[in-house]
Amino acid sequence: MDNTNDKLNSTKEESRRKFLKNIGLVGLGGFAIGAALFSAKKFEEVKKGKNIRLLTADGNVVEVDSVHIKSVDKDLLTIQQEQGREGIVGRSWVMVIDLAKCRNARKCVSACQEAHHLRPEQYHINTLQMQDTPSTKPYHMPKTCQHCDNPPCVSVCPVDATFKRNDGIVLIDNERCIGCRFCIAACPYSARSFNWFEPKDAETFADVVYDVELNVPQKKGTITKCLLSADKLRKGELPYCVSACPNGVFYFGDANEDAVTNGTTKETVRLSKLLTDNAAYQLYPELGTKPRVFYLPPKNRLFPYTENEETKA
Amino acid sequence: MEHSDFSSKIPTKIGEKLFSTVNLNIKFHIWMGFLSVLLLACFYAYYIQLRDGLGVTGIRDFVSWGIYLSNFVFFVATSLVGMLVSSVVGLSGKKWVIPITRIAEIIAVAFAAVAGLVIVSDMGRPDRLAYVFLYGRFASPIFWDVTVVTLYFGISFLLLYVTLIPDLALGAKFLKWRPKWLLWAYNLLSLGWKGTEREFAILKKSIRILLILIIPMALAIHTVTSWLFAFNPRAGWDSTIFGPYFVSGAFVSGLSCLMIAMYFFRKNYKLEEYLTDKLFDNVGKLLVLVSLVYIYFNINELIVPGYKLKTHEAIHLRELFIGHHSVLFWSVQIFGLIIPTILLLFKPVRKPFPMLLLGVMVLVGSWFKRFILVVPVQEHPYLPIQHVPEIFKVYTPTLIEIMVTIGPMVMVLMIITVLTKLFPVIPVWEMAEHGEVKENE
Amino acid sequence: MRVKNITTPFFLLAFLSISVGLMSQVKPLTDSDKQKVAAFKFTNESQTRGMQQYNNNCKSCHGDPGKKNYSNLDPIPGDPASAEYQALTDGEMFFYITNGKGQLMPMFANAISESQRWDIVAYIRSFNPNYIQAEVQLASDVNLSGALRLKLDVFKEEKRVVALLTDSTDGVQKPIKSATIKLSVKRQFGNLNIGESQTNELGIAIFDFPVDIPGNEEGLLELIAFAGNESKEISVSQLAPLGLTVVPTKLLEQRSWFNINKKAPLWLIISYLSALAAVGGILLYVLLQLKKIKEMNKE
Repeated sequence: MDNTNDKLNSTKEESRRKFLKNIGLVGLGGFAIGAALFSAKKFEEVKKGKNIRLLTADGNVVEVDSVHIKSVDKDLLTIQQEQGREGIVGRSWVMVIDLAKCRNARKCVSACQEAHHLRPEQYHINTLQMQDTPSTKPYHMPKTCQHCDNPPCVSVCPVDATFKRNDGIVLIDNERCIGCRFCIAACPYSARSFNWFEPKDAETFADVVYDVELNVPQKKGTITKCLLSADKLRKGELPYCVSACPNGVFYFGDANEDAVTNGTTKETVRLSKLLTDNAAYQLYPELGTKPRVFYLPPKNRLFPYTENEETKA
Repeated sequence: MEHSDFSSKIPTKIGEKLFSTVNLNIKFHIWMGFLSVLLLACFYAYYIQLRDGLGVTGIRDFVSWGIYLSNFVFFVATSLVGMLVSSVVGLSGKKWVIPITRIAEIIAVAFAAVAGLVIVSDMGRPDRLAYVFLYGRFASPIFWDVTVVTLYFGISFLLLYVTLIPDLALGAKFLKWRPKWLLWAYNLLSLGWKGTEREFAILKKSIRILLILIIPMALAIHTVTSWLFAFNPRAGWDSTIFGPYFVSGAFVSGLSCLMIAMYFFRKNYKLEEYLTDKLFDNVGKLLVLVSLVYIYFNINELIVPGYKLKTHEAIHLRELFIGHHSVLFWSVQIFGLIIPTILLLFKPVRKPFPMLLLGVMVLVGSWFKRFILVVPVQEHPYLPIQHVPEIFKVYTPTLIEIMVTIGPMVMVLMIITVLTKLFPVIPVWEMAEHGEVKENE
Repeated sequence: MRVKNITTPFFLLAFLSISVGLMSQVKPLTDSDKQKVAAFKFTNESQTRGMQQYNNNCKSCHGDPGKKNYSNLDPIPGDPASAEYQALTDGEMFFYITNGKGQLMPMFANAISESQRWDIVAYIRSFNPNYIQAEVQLASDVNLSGALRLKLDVFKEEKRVVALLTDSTDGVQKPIKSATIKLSVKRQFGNLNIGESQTNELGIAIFDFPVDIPGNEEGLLELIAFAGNESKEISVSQLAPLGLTVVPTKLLEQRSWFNINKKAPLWLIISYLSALAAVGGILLYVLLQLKKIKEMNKE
């Protein structure tokens, strides 16, 4: 590394000689890392010296250098990132989805997309039309991230941008994500989505401090995915999709309490009993991903299956 | 500067001839100018991608790795030829390989150097490249890949340089009419090489160390690259033989690239005496060998899931054999692999020109083979693709994406051009040392 | 957010054409349910409160009463201001809001409190100029009034909870008999029902607590006892050592592929670093050899 710094500072003549001395991997590797770090530092220092007007707590308007504002924001950002990585102490979130009740109202989808500023084709939760075998009847299946306890997406992430928390949620830090999309390739449940363009309403939310537990504002070139509404859970409320469902499909709760609450009826039931009585299953458990989302089979269905005209795989 | 004892040991004929290619002539400038313009166009395409986002490409949430990733795998694969030729063949004592070792090393350096850039073009946030070093996770294959590609590039570069040192010392004698700066650079880089026995002992030991070191490193880069796919629980990638499968495929694409380069240098650099028919014959045989190994792995990779037809494997294989990708798949297998292998079994085919044609076929086939390995698997995840626009379901590369893919290829050509124009493409001192190569002809 | 997106509770009060099989899932409507009336007089305030509840929970399917802008669903939810709806008794309306209706309309027993459900009835009735509210009467046969007191005693060994319901209006604690007490356990998003029990002559209700309800790390959990009817209710909550001891597993304590660097598999870290050191060392050695050549030639 010292070589690298010398190299940047010294004259051309010297630098050639130095280059000769240190030619090879050590110098090159050092240079590559040095240059990368340098550019990262550069990136952090953008927008210096712009004055911004602010309203102080006592009602005066003051002009402040934007550098300082950023540092304040950053504190909030850091706080949110830290608590976002820690998770909610003592919890172990689980979701139970009763397929017998889903009639593809897609209210979960729209509530989720609104909360997380998603484009219409971006899904944290999607309802899929499933048919397991040709002789069995099709059914609708709301599909979120499964929040695996052995998450393949987290294992492959090169920069710790997606991570597992102690409360079971697999979260994303889009201030860290480099956009390599290895996690998309690794996820067997197609749970992840990417911001291929500027996110929806990017300008409106440009100055909003990033909330890692809501993943808002979305950022171009980063991953987005279901985070079980970690922001709502921190407030002690049910996730957006769960409380938006009009048909009582979703149960959500803490496995440590062995209780889940239905988002529509607000009825609280024993998790273990619900799973046992209904022969609950998980998606592709043979992959060893240990999902946290359980499905109750579409038995004694309350609705006839109606196909959604826009869908057909 | 006075000519050392060392340069007087080199037969003038060999020296004059091999140094005659070190020549920045008008053809070189026109060619480089053309490449630069092309590269600028590609940079413009990349600028658009940076400005608007990765969405300007055809990749979407389901097929999220497209031709950028296939191109990356292709680059890493092709760079393996340096290790194959210099180490595997060279260390086994085959002296016929000497004239092409440097070409192979240059190809290796060029492809390895640009492979890193290819992967950067696939990143959604290239501005955060440094995070890979700052926050790198030991458990991520990408982290391993970055490590080994960097190391492999370093070793290849060092190997190229170390084998070049005695030739650099010869520059003073054989490069009289060249620009001053070039002579100056030669002198500087030659470390004052005098050609003493002690120097040669040190040099040869270093070369030997590097040649041995590069073997595990080359295996590592391509095995790790194959793990980028095989580590994912996805039907079609979930395979235990991906490492050797990729490595054997890499030898095929690398050798075909070498064949094309050999033909080009033979013709354009007028090196018929050195890049002989016999050499082509040998390289042809080597390609047959590695192709047969690759075909063997292909059969394994396809018939094992093809016999069991597990649900999602079956969907994937159906797409390859008779579905959406069947034309490409069979073209790659037949024209890019099977036909060239069969033809190269016959001695009359193992001549420079037919081998150029076959080399192009195999190289193009190798590129599309990487496409077949990367893309179709993603079009059929376990769960159905629904409620999304059509572009999410079927992957079609866009023009911008193709330009950004061509860019690195142009860079490789530029690196190869510059290196082969600045330095002798055939190791002069080794040719002089092993004069019998010529006599054998 | 939730307000906007709730659709679908299906009120089809006019036609009761549900198959027998599905009927079995819904609590049957009894005559006493039909006769049930609100325990308070419908006023402008109760109508306003009812409107808020209606907009939050019912509007997405039933639309605005009187405007016939209900959702186009199958079966059609219908307009609560319509004659069919208004032909229902207050008790029937209350019953359907409470227990759900038919295949689609969910129950609101746990989502909206009893008095709020009556507020909704009040709001729906405000669209009927001919409606006259039946005389307010207390539906419960138990007279819960005065200074109610509910006390819980917990017996850890026997896993038993004893509730005592008394009235101390006149300074003397009088036990209340035949009152229903509901016992539940507080969970993160709602109360888990444990059971119901009637008070005896002494005002005592006894609950056998299940042995397998998880508590916190000390085995503590929060009990909630409730007694009440339309006019009066009381609930108490209390921490009790009746739960299983649950020590939350910390997923991130294990060394694994998915964990952060500090918790990566040890062999992996060692292998990676030693391989890197070995290759780096060899390269350094080669570079030193080159340096040696250079220095050799300087002399």
